[in-house]
Amino acid sequence: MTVWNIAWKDLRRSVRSAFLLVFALGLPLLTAGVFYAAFRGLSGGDDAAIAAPRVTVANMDPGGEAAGILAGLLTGGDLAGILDAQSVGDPAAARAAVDAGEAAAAVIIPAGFSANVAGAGGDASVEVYQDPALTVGPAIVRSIVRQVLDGMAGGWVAVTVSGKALAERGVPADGQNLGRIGAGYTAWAQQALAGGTGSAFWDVTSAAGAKAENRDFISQILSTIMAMMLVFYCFFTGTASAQSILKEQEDGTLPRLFTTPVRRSEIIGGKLLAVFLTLLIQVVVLLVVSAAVFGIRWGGAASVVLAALGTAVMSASFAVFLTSFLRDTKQAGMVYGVVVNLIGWIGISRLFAGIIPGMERYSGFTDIVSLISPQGWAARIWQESMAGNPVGITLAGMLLLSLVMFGIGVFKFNRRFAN
Amino acid sequence: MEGAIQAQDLKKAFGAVRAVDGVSFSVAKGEIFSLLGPNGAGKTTTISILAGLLRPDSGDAALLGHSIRTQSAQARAVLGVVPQEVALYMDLSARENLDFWGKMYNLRGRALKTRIDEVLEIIGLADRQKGKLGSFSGGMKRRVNIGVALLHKPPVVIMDEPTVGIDPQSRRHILDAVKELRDRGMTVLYTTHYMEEAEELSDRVAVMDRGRIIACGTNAELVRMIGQDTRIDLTLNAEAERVIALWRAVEGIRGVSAEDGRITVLAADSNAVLPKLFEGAAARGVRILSVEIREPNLEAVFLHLTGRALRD
Repeated sequence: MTVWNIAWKDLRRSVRSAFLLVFALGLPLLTAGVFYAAFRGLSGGDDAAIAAPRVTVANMDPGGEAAGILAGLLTGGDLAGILDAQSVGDPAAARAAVDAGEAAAAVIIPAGFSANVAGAGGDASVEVYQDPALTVGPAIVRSIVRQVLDGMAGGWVAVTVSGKALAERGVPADGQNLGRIGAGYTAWAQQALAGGTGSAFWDVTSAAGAKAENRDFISQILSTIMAMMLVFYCFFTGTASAQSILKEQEDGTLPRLFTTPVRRSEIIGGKLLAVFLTLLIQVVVLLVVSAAVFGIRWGGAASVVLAALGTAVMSASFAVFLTSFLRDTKQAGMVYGVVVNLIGWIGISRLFAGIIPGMERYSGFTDIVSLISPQGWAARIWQESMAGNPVGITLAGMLLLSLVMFGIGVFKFNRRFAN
Repeated sequence: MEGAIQAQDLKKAFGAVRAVDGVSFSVAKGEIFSLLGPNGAGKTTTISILAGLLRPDSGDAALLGHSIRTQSAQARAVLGVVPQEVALYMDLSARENLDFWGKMYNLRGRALKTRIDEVLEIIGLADRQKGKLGSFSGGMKRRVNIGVALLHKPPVVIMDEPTVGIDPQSRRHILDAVKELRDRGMTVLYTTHYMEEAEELSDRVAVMDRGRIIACGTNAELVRMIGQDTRIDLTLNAEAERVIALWRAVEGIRGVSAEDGRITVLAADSNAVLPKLFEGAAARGVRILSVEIREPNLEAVFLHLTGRALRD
């Protein structure tokens, strides 16, 4: 009961602290809100919210069918609201426009591209040259190009495999039959990609498909940003809350508590319970508000509950651990700022790798490195929850690490406050 | 008389510094007992040991018979502590503070509510109970600081320099409150470096210096112990030589000196000699224009015992 009385007193004080409220709830929601407002147009709202990125297209395979389709799709009117594409004569001109900042990205279709798509055996890749300072525009271009190429690759595979099957059954694999197969694949792809709309395959990939892709991409960015905010600010809130132990020591209220009949272990326990409850409230509020206001999909109910508990436990344990090494609030101010920021960025680097174009290739590295920080574990569990993957193993790792940090912290506090 | 506080050869060192060096004393129930000494004398360390904040290197103490070493929780349960600095939550109201601290002393429900109302009346802040402590004056905070220590009606109260840095009006209020506690039967251990407070409040005083108690007793006992005379300063309307010889012959006067028109008379008992001084002056046709009597006090006691002033 006394433990709860102490925790309740701390919670009441936290709720009255404007600084803590701004840090715990205001800043993460504000940051997500800014991104939400910026991306709202592309996520399905106001189309004019973000200008369509400018793209230069250099088709070095002008006679090729696949190249023609891709170039035509990009520069034709179907994507007018999404891309502002312009054909140029050669790759150098396309890249120069990007270098000069006149275009967000350049799409370079190499010579022989169509033949390679049709199975000539060469590399059927398309180069997307982008402004490294931009993220959203080039990502949209890459997303559209990738989807078109996937469709082409799928069609070629369908035609090739079906042709072989026809030949094995003695049916001639002539242009008419292969054309019928291609049309059938297109119809299937249309269903699969557009969810049964009546548009033609290329229409789906150009207009509606691209918008759907954009929506998913923007939703992914918003979810990732919100997850970053959640993880980052939870650890700040944890340390700010645990700092009350040092503050009470300086204010004399902790020594005064020690003069009451309450055991010291109960006093420290109450303080730690308050840290955990503060974090739990923060996590729940952020989850609910971000889901209701920004439409963030955090994952299945069970995963979200486990991830929320894991995040609160981990943040609280880390806060107790770190604070137990600190002398006073002056020292805490400096150490919290440096340590929580540093390991925080290391931890959420795994989330960055998922949304920054070009970072995908480092995702394996960031996935491993991020786990040296507690924030990395918290980021991982939210990644898993949002992706619909099981969170059990990560949660177990978090609890184990939390137990170690909590044990060290409590041990040090007990030693410090032993009379 | 059964002792409320018994301290026996308490010792506490911080590194090479012996903060408390063999302190022993006994406080009777219902007594105000002051620890008087300059800053750094060891007063706060002594009461920190009694309050359970510090463990003594050696020695023991008992509060109403409960050893601070072996029955720490019971000892703390009979104790109310008023720390030197205000140790309260400034973002909570006076009532919320009292409510929280009451629960720390195992008060709950209606009993707690009733007691909070009583304490708010005692400290004179019933009408400000909902105000945030951060908005209170220094004196009002001090009163709540004392109120917290009284919530569970402790038989023993320790007050560590509760009047440091506050205005005279609040100081008066606190000193009156301490006397009232004694009148209610509480035992008060009071530390101060203000000699006037110790003299006004205390039934007995222990003078501390450098971790030791160098003298202990009532005010009168301490003054008698150093054997100092009462000093009577007088100014006259005539030359001092006209009365000095006559006054020196008066029984009970131990010395007369004159300097810069002021005559200083040393006597064992000012009440006994003053009429004779006036008679002698009248006999010589001299008028006494002013008289100032300085009884020997604790300041003089401390000066006598240590060679230093109390505020050095």
